[in-house]
Amino acid sequence: MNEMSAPRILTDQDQEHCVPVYVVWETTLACNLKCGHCGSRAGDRRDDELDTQEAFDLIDQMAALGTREITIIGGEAFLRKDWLKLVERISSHGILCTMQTGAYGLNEKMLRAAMDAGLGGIGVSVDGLEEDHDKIRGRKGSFQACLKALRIAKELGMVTSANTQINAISYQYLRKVFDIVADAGISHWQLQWTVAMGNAADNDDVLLQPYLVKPVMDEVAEIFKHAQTIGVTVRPGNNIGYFGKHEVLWRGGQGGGHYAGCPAGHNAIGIEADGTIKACPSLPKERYSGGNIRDLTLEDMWHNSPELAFNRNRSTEQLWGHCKGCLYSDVCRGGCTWTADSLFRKPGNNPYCYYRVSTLEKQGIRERVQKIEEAPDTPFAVGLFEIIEEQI
Amino acid sequence: MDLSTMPKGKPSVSLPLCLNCAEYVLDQAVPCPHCNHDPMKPGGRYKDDGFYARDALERLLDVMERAAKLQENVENKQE
Ligand code: SF4
Ligand code: SF4
Ligand SMILES: [Zn+2]
Repeated sequence: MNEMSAPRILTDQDQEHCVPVYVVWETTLACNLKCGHCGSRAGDRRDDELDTQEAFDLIDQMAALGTREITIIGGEAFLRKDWLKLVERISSHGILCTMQTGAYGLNEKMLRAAMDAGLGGIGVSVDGLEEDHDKIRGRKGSFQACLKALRIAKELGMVTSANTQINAISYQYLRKVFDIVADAGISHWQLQWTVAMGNAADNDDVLLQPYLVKPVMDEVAEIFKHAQTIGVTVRPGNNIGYFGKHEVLWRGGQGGGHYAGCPAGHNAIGIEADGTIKACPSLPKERYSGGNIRDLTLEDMWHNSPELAFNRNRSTEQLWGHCKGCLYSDVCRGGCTWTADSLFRKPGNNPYCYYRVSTLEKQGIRERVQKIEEAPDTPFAVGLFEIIEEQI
Repeated sequence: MDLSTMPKGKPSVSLPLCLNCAEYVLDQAVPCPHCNHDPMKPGGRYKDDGFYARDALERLLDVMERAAKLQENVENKQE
């Protein structure tokens, strides 16, 4: 899940009372791009997506449970005919509404209308330099569309963020990508590892090998410092981390602020376009669905579905492998559930970790991930990977 | 929203920083597992890279914010 704004900052009270502060909502699976790393294998609309009234009702239920921010995603959220109505309904509750978009076909008129409807900001996915971006996104011109949308949104006064996935291709050009998106006026640059889900599990060459996490994050730290001098905030997403020498730079300060573990189901909700409620939008439905809003109320699921509650008591029981013996296990609990689960079909062991890579490096060891089973051809499908340890 | 009816969760813990290497530690009372220094003695990277100044500023802002809130409460009570 990404970070863009203040409503998402969690208080102790939010955590003690499991307030679903932040929701990421796939409002449609329809998409006009064909991304080679798309976890949800978006493209066609789902057969049974929520209609406008059902979506309104769901928004009202989120408001009643204390949600403060909703990010609409897709597919491509603006391909829903009623997307502006949804934005309006969300804003009418005083909930911050933001949109995560590929921006292909997003023009000034639409952005103006979105702003009038109350859209508080957009995050545009920029996944490399122009040629790589257009290739991985499956559409020529999609890179330029991103920059254009960012510039227009900025001129209109929106908070704009560029989101970049770090993978085996993009990691080599991060500074160049940053310079381009910074020039387009972003206030935040959000980073995330490409995760082995859906199309990225099929095209697993695209995955960064875990042993590269350290050099890449060392470079991101340099970009972070440079970005500060030009007023741009570099934000590592929830699956980027953890601890090590840079944690204090981007997350921390004295007495907290560091990575605090996956918020899925504790303070976050993910919604699929058909009304399936999950703890995080990226987790696979088969094992993480808490039910469907057509069958149960959101409150009922939030209170009673074990699939949504797995993070709430911050147990370390599910940890295994290297994470089990880690100094930070109690706080971090293996980092992003999605990242680990996508590799191993269970959470609790995460090789994409700075502290882990540094610790192993001191022992002369590095880790690689290797696919041993393909993912099925369904949205949010995961394959199976194993960790190979190598002597450096 | 009535918080008392919400499911119960465990809040995350806040780890202290080692005031020498600026990495997080579980316990400031024992030598830092990362740099082996006394985590409570400011020095090293923590000072050199400006984290000392940043944290001092944050603490100051925090105190100012709390003072402003207290003042506001006093004024509200007087009204
Ligand atoms: S090794 Fe695992 S538990 Fe430790 S910091 Fe890294 S992801 Fe978290
Ligand atoms: S699984 Fe947890 S940490 Fe990962 S993206 Fe979802 S909510 Fe964020
Ligand atoms: Zn130290």
